[in-house]
Amino acid sequence: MNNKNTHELYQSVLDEVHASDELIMKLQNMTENKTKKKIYVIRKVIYVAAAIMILLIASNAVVYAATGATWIEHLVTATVNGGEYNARLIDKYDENGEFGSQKLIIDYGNGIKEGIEGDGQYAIDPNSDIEICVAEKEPKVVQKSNRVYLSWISADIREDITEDFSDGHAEFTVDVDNHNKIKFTITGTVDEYKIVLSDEEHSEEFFSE
Amino acid sequence: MDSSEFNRIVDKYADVVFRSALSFCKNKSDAEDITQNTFMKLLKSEADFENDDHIRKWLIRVAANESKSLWRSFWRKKVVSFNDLDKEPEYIDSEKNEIFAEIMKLPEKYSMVLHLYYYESYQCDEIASVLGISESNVQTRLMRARKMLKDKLGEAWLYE
Repeated sequence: MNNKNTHELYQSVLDEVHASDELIMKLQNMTENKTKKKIYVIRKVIYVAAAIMILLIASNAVVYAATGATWIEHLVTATVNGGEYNARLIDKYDENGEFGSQKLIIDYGNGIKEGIEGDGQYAIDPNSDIEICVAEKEPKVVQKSNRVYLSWISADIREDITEDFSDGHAEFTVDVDNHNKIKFTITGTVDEYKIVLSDEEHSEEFFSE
Repeated sequence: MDSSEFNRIVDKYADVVFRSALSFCKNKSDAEDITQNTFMKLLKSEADFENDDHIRKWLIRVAANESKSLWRSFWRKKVVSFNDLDKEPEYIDSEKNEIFAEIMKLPEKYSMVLHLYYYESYQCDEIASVLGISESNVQTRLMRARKMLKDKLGEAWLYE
């Protein structure tokens, strides 16, 4: 293989790929919007397996003030995998009134709540309905009412593994779509566990906190 | 960084970062997110850049890290497919169309190495440093990527 020619070929193919005008405009506007940016990935992509959350912003905005800092709480309805849940979207501001970060708390009921902390870089615009992919939340082993579950709320998975896991090893498989199956392998104990997700191409490990 | 300097860098390197991001993640939406995150980090950075080449390498490194962060989401890896990529660019040369399509089908770990080697003309040790893997691992991935493309494209990839 002639490397020089391969370099030229590759470059000639990729040289025809360009960032869109819309993207360039967004980049150039960054200097003006430095203090508040959209952080959560907001898009109209339909995910096969990932949870899609739709937030419908309700009207009640409550302002709290404490220790110089301020935050605004929006009461919202979050739609996750088709189920509607009450949630709170909290904008945090520092003592100078500068936007700091956001936190979203979803109440799934039965005492199960999920908090998503913004990193100060992304922000949800409370004036528009949005979709958020929360697929990055990790699977966990949880114990409730003497039963043990592999729980992954964001992926809509809650598998009872009580019997299998009693000897420290449980396995099950989930169909992601018509073509893909993901195998879950859980080892250890409820307090100290390891979860391995694998398919034909990938493998990923998660550990207890 | 002042806005005029930032906009100059955007004008000069937005395509470079977007191409890298697209090669890494194969998905236009993600590539745009990665590009935005990368430039956001530039805007916030207090790094002293020696020259434009330094800036370019810094941007590529950040884009690579942003891409790797994206891959940590297992589900995202499952749901992103070539179909999500807009049908752009439209090549007049059908051979280039085919080559682009096959590059986009490569597993991420191979396309990333391939792009840094063939587009950015990085040496293997530089790629190893950017991706945080060993040099021998880079060479292995490069060899496999070449073989995959050669198997799919045959003479088109040789481009003699």
